[in-house]
Formats: sequence, structure tokens, C-alpha cells
Amino acid sequence: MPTEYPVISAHASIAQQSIWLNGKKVFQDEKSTHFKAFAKAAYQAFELSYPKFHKMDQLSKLGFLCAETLLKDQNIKNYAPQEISVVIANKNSSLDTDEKYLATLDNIVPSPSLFVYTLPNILIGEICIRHQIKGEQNFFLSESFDINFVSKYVIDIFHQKLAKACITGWIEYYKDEYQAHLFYVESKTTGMPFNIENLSALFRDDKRIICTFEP
Amino acid sequence: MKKVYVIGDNMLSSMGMNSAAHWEQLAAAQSGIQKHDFKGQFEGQYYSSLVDPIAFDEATQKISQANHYTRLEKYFILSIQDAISQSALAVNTDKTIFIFSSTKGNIDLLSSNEAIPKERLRLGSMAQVISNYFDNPNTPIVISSACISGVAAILTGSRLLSAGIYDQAVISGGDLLTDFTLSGFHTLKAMSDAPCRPFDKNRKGITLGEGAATIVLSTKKASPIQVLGGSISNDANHISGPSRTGDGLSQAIQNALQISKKAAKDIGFLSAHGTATLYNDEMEAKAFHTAQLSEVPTNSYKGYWGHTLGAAGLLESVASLHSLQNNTLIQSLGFEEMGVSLALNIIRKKQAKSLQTVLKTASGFGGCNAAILFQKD
Repeated sequence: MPTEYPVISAHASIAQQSIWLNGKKVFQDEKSTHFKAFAKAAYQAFELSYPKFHKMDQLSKLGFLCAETLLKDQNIKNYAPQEISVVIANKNSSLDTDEKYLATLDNIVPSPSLFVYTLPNILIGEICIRHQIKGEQNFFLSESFDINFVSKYVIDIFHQKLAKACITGWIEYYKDEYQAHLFYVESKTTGMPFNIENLSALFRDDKRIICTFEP
Repeated sequence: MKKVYVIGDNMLSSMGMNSAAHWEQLAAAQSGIQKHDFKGQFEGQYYSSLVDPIAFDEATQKISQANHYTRLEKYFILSIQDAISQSALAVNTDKTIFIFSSTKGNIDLLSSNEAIPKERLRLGSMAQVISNYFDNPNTPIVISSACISGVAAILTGSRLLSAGIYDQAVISGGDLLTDFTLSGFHTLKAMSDAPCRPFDKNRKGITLGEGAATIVLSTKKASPIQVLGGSISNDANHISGPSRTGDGLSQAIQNALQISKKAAKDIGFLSAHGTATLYNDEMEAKAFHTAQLSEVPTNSYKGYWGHTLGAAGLLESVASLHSLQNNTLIQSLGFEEMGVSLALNIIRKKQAKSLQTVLKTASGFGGCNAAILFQKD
């Protein structure tokens, strides 16, 4: 009986008004000058019917669209909801929305619909609601994507049999600068091993293709 | 998998600067919640739990170059200093990892003109500054998962130690009470105009609090108290409202029991999240019933120090460990009459009880839930 190990089944990225899946560009919007317009264009291009999308803050939209792309050709229904885990990291937390919320406070009427998004893990909540994911999760904050730590943490989740699949990566948004990189990891007997080397290489390649800046 | 022991702890809130001060007041059923005057952008008088400014100023004498740090960073430094002093643990080694839990970090910097650089608004930057204070060479881990952050941080630390990735973990949670959170919870109509009453029939919402708490874990130095394990789940239902069924939380509890090789009947005490909102407490009651815990002596600590957000999971876990060590159940302050549709065994008065295993739960915005077990040998 061949042994199972964590495998990278797919990876998706969003940056510079483009969306990529497994190294191929699947969407580009040259016209939009701001993320908000780009996100709307992507939503329309994906022909999604999900009204909640328009209430989300920009960070949650970014995570949502990246997860939508990542899982497009995957069948997560192979797993029970609690078998799928989500481990996300970023640098600025929900600071973009925090500042927007504070501005509403300055105008005397604080906005409840903005306040609910002043936590970074809300983006995980939105992904979980959309795809009915109920398993292990965590949200880490770091100055840069700590591939060494995140890969060890996710591998340990698999070793301890706390999950059979994992959506993991970096979802970063601040003042219209954005980068999203998600990896779909499954326990399988063949495939590209999910480890520091492969994760680093894919992350580096994605960034090189997509990004010319470091937010 | 290695055994993970608790070798130090601290609590810092309206109830004092250390765990001993907290335990004394918990045992006397004395709350740290008071009516306070708020100036600034959200003016008014609100019941809240604030760190005493005089005690705090005095304590900061122990911090070298204290004016280089923000208020929250000082809470963290004081809390960590106290916790690590209890075991003479050398934290300047790469075998020790610092793990932080906070929901908003230095959010007060958004509204202040302090000389502290604005980059410290980023939790990663804040965490680095604090771990640098203690000369720890590793990049610290920071968890920000709403109100489950503290429990998630302890769980993350125990998993890393159990797997042998580190030998020690200094796990610290903290949050401030600011206009930001005060206004936010107020605008969600989640705040009570009286001290919060978890699980009570007349509960009207949360009381906010601030502070920090620290727990030190080790696989190299044994102690009578262990972290057995735990689990995190998501309701996949609503981003700010608790699930109506409590299924996500009961799933986290049942997973935590399974991982710890325990059954519901083994639990001697349950430290609930108990925020005192109508919906949260009702959801928890359903979850506890599903997990067969309705007979277990249960409390919420939030009647003592309010909802401390990123500090909550740490403060309340440490309080539970003192309960475990002292074989004493602490009164669930604010509770008089059962106010949830499925009755729980809420602790009405402090009482002695021989305890071996305790369960701590937490739930948060984003639909997340966490459960963790502690054991005394």
C-alpha cells in the first residue's frame, strides 16, 4: 500500500489586474485602475451568482476570488467539510478596512457593515461559507510570507491527521496594492510534494511572472 | 509526539499585574468591571475593564527604555517578563518560539501622534519588537483569528512543541480597549449598558476589557500541568453571527476530546466563551449539549474582566489552570437565572472540587471555534 503525503494539486495567484491558475493566465483586466473595479470585472467574467460578494471588503474579495480560481477544477466534495483546512497569512491584516472604518467614526456615524470586516480572518469565513469548509484553520501575520513556518505547520496538520486537504497561502491587500497566492494541498500517493522547496519555487515563479513590486 | 507542559503564566488586566492578584479576586468573586469615562471620538460612560493606570505606570519602571514601546507592547513585555521569570527559562535561544495573539494590536496608533513609527500598526512588526526585547532570534508567530486567537495560539504552540519543531513556546495574548472597538461593538448593538451577565436570562450583551496574559510551554521541563490538545473549526454559516445550531463548536469540542483521548465524562470543568450576547450564549448551550457536557460545571470569566478579545483565550486559559491547580471552581459572575434554552450547569458559587481535566472553548467572528484540553497529573 503506497504511502500518502501532502501534494500540491493546484495553485492560483492574483496581482497586477491578472488572475493565474497553475502558471497560466486565466483572466486579465487592463481597463480597471483600482482593485475594486478589477474585482467586479473578475466576478462578472467568472459568471458568479453570489450577491454577498458585493458586501465584502477588498481583502475578502481578493481571498474569495483567489479561492474561487484555485478550486475551479478541484472536487472538494470528495471531502467532508471538517476534513478541509484553511491556513492563510498576510502582512497588513485588515488595516485597509480598519482605516476606512475609522474614517466613518470621524464622520460621527460608524459603519457596522465595515466594522465586521476589521479582522483578517473574516476572509477565511467568507471562503468557508462559499465552499462549505468547516475544518482546521489559522490566520498568521508576518512581514513577509514565511514559507518555512507555514509549510511546517501545514505538513504537521496532515501528519497529525487533522485534515485531508488544505487551502493555504498569502492574501495581502493594503491601499490598492494586492497579492494573493493560494495553494490547494491534498493527501495523495503521487504528485508534487508540498514542501518548502516546491512551495518556494512556485511562489517565486508566480511572483516573478506576475509582480514587479513588493508591497 | 512529545508531552507539552505548562511551566509559567501571567495575567494582566483590571484585576492586577500577575496571576496571584487575579486568583485572589476570582476566589472572592470580585469583578474588575467598572463604569469608566471615555473622552475621544466615542465619548460617554461605559462599563468596561481597564488596566489600572497607576499600577501600570509603576510596573513599567521594570521595562528598559519603556518610552520606545506602545501601551500594548508594554502590557506584553510585563506579562512575558513575569511568566518567564517563574521557570528561569532562557528565551534567547532558537529552540524557543514566541507566539502572539491579538485582534487589533497597536490600533491606537491610527489616532495618535506618538513618536512610535506607524509600521508598528502591523502585528508582525509589533511582535518582532517584543521578541527582540527578549533577544529571541526567531521570527515570532502571530495569530489573529478574532476572539479565538488566544486559544488558537496555545494550540499552535502545543502542536509545534509536540512535533519537536521547538522545545519551548512563550505564548502571549493582548488587546487594548480603544474607541475603535468600543464604537464598533456599540454600532453592532452588541454592548450591555450594565456589567455583562453570561448565560443569564437578563443578559444584554458584552462588556469590553483589555489586558494581556502569557503561558509558557516546554517539552524539556516537566510540570504537573499539560496541554493535551485541541481543535479549531468553522461554522461556514455567517461572518459575524453565531450558528443557530452550535454544530461548529460541538465539532471542535468532539475533535479536541478525541485528539486528547478523553470523553465528555472526564471533563471536570468547562471554561466557556460566554460573551453574554443573546446569540453567543444560546449557541454555546446547544453545542455543549450536543457534546454531552451539559452537566459539567461551567462558567464564563467575562463577568470579571469583560471580553478582552485577543487576550481572552490566554487570560481565561490561565485562570482555568489556576482553578485546576487549586481544585477550585470559580463562580460565573453575573449569573443568576438560567437564560439559555438548554440548561447548563453554571457555577453559582465558588466551590472545592477535585479536578484533573479542564476544557476551554472560544468562538469568534468569521465563524471560527476552538477547543483545548488541559490535564493535571
